Amino acid sequence: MAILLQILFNGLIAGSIYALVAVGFSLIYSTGRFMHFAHGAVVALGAYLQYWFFNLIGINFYLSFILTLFSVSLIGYLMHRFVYKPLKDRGSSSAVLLIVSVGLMIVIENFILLIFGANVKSYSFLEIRKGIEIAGALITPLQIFIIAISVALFLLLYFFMKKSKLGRIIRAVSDNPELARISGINAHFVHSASFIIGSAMASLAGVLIALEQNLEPTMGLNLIVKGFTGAVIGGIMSIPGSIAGSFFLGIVENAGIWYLPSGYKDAIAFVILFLFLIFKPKGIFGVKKRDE
Amino acid sequence: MLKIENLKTNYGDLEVLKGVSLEIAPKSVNILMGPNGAGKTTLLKSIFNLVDVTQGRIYFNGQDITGMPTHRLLSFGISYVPQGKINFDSLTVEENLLIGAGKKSREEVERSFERVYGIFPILREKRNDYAYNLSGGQQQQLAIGRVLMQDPRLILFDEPSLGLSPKLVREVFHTIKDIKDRFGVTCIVVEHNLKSVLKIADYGFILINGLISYHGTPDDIISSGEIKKVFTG
Repeated sequence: MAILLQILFNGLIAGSIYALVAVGFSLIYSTGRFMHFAHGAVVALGAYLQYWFFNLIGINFYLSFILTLFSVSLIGYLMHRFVYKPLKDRGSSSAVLLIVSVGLMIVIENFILLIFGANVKSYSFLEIRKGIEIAGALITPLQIFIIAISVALFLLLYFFMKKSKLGRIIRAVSDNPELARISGINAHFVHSASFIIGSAMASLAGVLIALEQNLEPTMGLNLIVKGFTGAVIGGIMSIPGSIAGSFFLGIVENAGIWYLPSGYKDAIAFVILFLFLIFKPKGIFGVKKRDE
Repeated sequence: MLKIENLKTNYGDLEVLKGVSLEIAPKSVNILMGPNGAGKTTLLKSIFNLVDVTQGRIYFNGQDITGMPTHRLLSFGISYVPQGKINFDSLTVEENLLIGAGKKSREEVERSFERVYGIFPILREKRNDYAYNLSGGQQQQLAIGRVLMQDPRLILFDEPSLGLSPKLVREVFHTIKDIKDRFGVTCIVVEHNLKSVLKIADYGFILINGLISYHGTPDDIISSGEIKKVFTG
């Protein structure tokens, strides 16, 4: 029982981190219809900017986070405005944009490496506390905080998408871009908004992850692979789907390494990714359409 | 109301419209007929600036609207109902209508809702249902309803009867005539279903191989025998 609960805790922690990455990726994919793989590097950039503001400049942690949030959102917008949009305007295919996104990821990773170096870093903001024992399973207050913040954020995003006018317009563009254009929706505005919102979520993901783990310049690659897998499992076009898929991935991975050596963790994710791409490419919560 | 002068449109090297000129009277239902590949949809898309016009001008109430961005065309009162996927499937009926409402104030939106629900009572009943749950006829009603939220003066319909049963086709055409009579909206309808559509039309254009080959009232078109060309090209 304690073991099952421990697997569930570990799965929920991993899942909430993956989900934070997956929602932004999914949001950008659903409106723009291309894979923004640099999103993982944006998460890393968030983590490092926070390190820069807090540890190097010495600004208050929470104020640093606000600065990080704004800077990363701005960088997300600039990537769209000066890289993806000009290419899209020239009629580049999604394959071209995919390659560009991998290029951007490499540029950002190496930029981080150049500025901050390859040494592993940590905020040393919270002292390491002993885990709380719940029915024999251990979870730290920080981990509970990470799960709680993620869930709160997902609820906020859900209500934003469901109830606000901008949320409705974003859903319309992701549902039918051509009809949205005919209906007078400014696609550029919607794409910019999804990059800003997605990147803001990435910065939060970066800071939360860095509180729990260490910072490495290449941390984004692993995160985007997991976030992408979570999004594919749940249905890449659906934000609630990609959240559910990420939690599913987190739990399955952690259940798997209970039986297999922990080095197989990433292999488990890849096997699930392949299985879904082959047998259920639209994911568990794939968006329903009349003609499908 | 709408005047097109010597319009030419290309897809790559292929010239689809080869110099179309026509004039549309206000508050009328106009049918655009022609064989497949004649350029009917391209003509509608050219008016709505969804394809690049290579030559010629389009005037709406005397104003040159050639190549004008979509949101400005909408503000002039020109709306477009495409064929194929005509609604936002994953949005509810009401959300679909709200997308049509654009930047209207709350009071204006309420007034437009009443107007649309007055014509299509079933949409009020199903306002919280997702669009993908609607039947084919209801889908078409929703698409027309969404366009009516934009307070149009000219609606471009691209094959509204596509995929509908004969009974529903009649209903859709009845609706189009009703919209014209009640709100004085001018309609241009691209259609294959000539028998039903000529009954409600005020005027017809036959487009063959990128050029208007004949135009006239439905009676003229039927008596001239030109209608055969719609099938044979």
